[in-house]
Amino acid sequence: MIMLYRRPYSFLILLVALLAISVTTRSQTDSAPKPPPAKPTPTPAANQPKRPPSELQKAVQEFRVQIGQIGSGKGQFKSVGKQNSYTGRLYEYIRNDAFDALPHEVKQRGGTKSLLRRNQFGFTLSGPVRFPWLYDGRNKTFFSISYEGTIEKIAQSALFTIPTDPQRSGKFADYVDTAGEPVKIYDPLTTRPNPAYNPAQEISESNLQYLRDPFPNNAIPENRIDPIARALVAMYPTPNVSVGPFIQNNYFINNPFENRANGVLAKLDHTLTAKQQLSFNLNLSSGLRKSPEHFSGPANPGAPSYNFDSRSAVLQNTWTKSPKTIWLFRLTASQSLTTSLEAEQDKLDYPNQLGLKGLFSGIFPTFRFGNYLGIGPRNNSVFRESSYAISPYASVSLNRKSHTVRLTHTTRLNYDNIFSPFAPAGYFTFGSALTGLPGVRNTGNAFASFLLGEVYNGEESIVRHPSYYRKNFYNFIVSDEYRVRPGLTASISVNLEVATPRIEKYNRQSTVSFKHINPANGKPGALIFAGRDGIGRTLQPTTVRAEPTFGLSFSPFSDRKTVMRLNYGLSYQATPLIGRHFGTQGFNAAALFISRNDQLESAFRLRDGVPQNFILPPFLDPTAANGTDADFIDPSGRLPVTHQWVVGIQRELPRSLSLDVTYVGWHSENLFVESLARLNAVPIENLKYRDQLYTQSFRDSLRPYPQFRNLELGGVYPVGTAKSNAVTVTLDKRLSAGLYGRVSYRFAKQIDNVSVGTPQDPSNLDVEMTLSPGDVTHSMQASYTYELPFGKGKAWLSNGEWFSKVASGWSISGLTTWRGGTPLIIRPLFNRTGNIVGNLHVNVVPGVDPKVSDRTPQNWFDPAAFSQPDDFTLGNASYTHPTLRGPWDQFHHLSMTKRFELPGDKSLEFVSEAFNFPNHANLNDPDTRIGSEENPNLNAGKIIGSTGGRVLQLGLRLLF
Amino acid sequence: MRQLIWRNLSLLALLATVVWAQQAALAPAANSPARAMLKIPVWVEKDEGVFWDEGKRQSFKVFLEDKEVAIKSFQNPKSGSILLVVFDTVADLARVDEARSALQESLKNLNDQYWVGLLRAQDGLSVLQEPTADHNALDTKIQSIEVNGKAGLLDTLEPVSQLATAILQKAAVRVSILYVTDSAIGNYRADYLNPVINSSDSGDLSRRFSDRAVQERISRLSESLSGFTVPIFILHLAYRGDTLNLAYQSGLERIAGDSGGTAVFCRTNDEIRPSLLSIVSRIRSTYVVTIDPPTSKRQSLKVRVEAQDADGTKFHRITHINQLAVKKK
Repeated sequence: MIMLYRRPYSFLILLVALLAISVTTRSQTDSAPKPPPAKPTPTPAANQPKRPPSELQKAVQEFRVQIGQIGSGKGQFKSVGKQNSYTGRLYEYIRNDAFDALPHEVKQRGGTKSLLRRNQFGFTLSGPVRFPWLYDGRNKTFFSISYEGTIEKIAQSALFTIPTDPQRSGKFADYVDTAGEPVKIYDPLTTRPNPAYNPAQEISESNLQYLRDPFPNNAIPENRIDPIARALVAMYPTPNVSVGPFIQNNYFINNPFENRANGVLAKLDHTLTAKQQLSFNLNLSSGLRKSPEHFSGPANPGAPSYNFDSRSAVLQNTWTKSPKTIWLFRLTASQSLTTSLEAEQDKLDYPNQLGLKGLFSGIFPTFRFGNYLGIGPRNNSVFRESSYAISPYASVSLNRKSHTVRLTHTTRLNYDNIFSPFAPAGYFTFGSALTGLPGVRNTGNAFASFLLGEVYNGEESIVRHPSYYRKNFYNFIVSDEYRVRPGLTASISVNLEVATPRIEKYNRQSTVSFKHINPANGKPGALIFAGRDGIGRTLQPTTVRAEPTFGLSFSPFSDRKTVMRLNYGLSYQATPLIGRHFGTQGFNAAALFISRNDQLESAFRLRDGVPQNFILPPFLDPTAANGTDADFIDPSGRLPVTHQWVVGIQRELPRSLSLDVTYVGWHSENLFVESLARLNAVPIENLKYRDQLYTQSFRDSLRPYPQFRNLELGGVYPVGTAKSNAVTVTLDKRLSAGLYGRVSYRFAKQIDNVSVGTPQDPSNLDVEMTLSPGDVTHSMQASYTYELPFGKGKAWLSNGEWFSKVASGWSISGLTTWRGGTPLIIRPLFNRTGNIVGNLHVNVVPGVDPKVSDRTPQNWFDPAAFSQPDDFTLGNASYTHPTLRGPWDQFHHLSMTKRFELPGDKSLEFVSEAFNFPNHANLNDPDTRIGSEENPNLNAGKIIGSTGGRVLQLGLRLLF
Repeated sequence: MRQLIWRNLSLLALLATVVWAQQAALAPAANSPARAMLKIPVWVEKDEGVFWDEGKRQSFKVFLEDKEVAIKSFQNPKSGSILLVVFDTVADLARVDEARSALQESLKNLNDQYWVGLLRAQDGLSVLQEPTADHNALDTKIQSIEVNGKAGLLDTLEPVSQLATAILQKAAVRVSILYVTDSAIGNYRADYLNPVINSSDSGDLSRRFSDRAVQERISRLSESLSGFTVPIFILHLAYRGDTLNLAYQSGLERIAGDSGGTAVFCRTNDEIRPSLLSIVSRIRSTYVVTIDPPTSKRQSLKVRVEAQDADGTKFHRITHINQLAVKKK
């Protein structure tokens, strides 16, 4: 040996040899299983006088031999189960429109291609943590890591109405209404009082209050077109289809949304001792989501595109103090960051390029005109939001006699930093009234008003700072599962939740207070500011709510194959951390530009630039919200409350069948709403003032708080109600003969007053309590998996070489859904109510049944059963119709898998999935707009088009 | 120099021989190429849950590929029996507590011919108690069963079946495996949940058939278990109704059924005790018939076992045995 030391290469050879021995020995030692009990318990032969049968002794001897071999790497036991080996999968799924059927909606518009490119790929790997010569984590430290990447471009179709070529240059001779009748365009500059007007009679074409001359030939003279509008029109696309009817639906897009995402899930768990386990999970995901363009260029009105980046980490310790006591400690931290691509546009200074003066931001302004596709980005397209949350958690579970008690505490600390102005470069709307005949509906055109540059109203958001919101939740939960007697178990739980109100890091919060007098008019309602003038940092109270739940489960019959469950729970919804810049007026501002009378004059003309008659923030004054849509943070502390009750019965049937019938009912009160509560709405009885209501100052004078326009509620004002009852019958078939599956049928009804959005009459919300728009009475779903009975280990074709391999490993899975139609929302075509009724209903025509006997897509319901309400009157129909529904939907998906066995306990799976494999077309809902007798909607009651198309996905998975 | 290299290479060869010899010594004798007898567990269920346990050797006939073969040895319900109880308890303290006491009660009803071994499947297979008829030792160990760790049922079925088969081959005893588990598919360390990784793809169609990973695992496991003839019984303490767990539970039912055993799923605490009693009743009524290893080269063999009770009523069971079952000894 000494000699060998003198020669380095000899030493190396010896070292390799020794290492070989060492590694071999180590692998035999290390791969040993968790040691069996140190001292084998004596067999009865050793500690009992009885002499055990010799065959049993032999069996125990063999048990010892086999257990000793576990983990040796040789013999019958390869390892102690699978957990000490590395397992995982590698996969790739592809979709390509070359495999697919052309979607029906694209085919119907004359399209021949619908782009779909999708690659989804990733891997999962798990096993023990091992670093050669450093650390061997077998049996104690394990990791699992999953990566997935997605690159996809999928076309999304949409149909819009845009101005025709003549209309783009101001020629509206082709402009017709929904009955195909020509509609006149009037010159707002010719507006003058009608000396012959008789105020005792209603305004009509024969009794006009104001006279206005139509444009000759229904065309706007070239020199009257606003230069900014002209520049914008140059960015606007031209019609590309003619779906109709009557020039509507003339612009079809099928542009792709793009999604590039990469994500990782990593898990690490470590057994500290037999009673202490530690785990750490990490989730990361980031990427780009690009919305489909409606047309290219900065004027694209499509949804914003954004980059996202989210991550979360969970550290958990489980301490099994005893077989009947378990402690759990967990710390969760998460962060997400979302930034819109539009946020990068600021430096380009588009308003200046357009010649639109007076705006503070350089991004593209927003222009909207009636039912036409707009120009410019959507509201809130510029945003940057960063959210953080930290949540420590602790629980202890105790099992004592007939009780299993659990005590839990969770703290959630939420941080949300956001910059998201509503309309940083202005939001400008154009109405048809300015180019119509004042007081007469079905005249004028919003795009014509736009060409003239006559802004009906506008808004510019001036947000000086991001908002830094904070809100905390503390939960204390006690639950007990109590076995009252054999066959009867009761459970009770109480969750005490304490939620602190929102605070802003720099106290940049404000709200309207009705306890304070507005100095401008001496009426209640003035702006107050957090942390100033004796006001605390918070503008809402801390809420403390107890949420109890009770449950009973019992077996009503002696065979114990039937189980009944009864549950009741009361829960509250905590006020969310209200996003964006709601409740920061004074620190930020929304400059409003409103027409004094939208029938007679505009707020301003584009060519004149945006008015500058507003006060720039910060303006911390009680009157800072005057004349605006003022933010009101509800100080009541009232929270949405839901009562839920469940009655379920499960019955085990022969042949591995199981039947479950469950009724779930719930009733929610104080649901958070936005426009349902119109705290500063003009009372409906003022409809009697008819056309006077179009004068803004008069209309505002009728409001309860005339110093404000609307009161914005941040979507968290608690007045909504919803109720639901549903029975679900589920039949499960567990595996026999290679088949398992589930069939379920659901019968349900849901009603609410929340879905209506803005109510017809804010003082009578009960009227809005109708079927929810998403209510589905009947729905059925069937899912199944069938492993074909061929090949190795199966009844047929199990022997033989090649054909057994070909026949083995096939399975089919399917998923089929039938879903009943949703209630139809019948709407009036016109709403002439002086801008005080938000969501006007139609009238029901007595004696006319809306249901038709021979229902076809061209004749889905009878529109004659409804009528347009007269001007300045409310409709008497409900928001959603109680019996009329849209068509049923069907979805059929099928998956076929072939598994190839590979050496070494590996396999390769080829997957073929067909979504909507029969290429079924689901009909769209019918046109539900009801016109007047003079101006009907000829399309009402008819279904135009259908959607859907078969999509094929191919996948390959290597499992090891 | 050359001499030195040769000497060192010789030394290396010697060391390598030592290593090989060491490994060979550690390798089990079980690798012997001898073919094992084919042992088939059989029950005769006269009525639902009612088993006939008075059968004699001559009451049974065995047909291999429709050809009657001689029964070489026979164990009846009075023969010695090894029951390997494997705990995989990870989720529900109340259910596990009930299972503990129900198991203690059930085992007490077994006589001295039943030796029970206790194993734990979470975080790797470990032995809690080697087979014994010492009820005090079993009681103590059962009471110390803990609810923690990661589920291990799927990962340990194969080694436990190997263990049981080895015992079955070595001794003239009946052997059964009983898993007591409350595991959900989400309790496994391996990822069967197919979770959404990127927040942007929550509507991903690729996840429409989310139970595929579970099915694949069950299929692979089912094939690898087809080489064993020891019946597996699974007492699942907590039935779950979601899609992924339905696939998991169906898989457990398939594995147990293919092995000749059963899987029982409890919806409530109250079902645990009677379910366990019915499983133990079936285990107690097991016969084992042994035949010569088949000479056929076919990979899968059709085996039909017939029994005729004292009243002359015939019962039969047809099964397909993988040749692996007799290749391994």
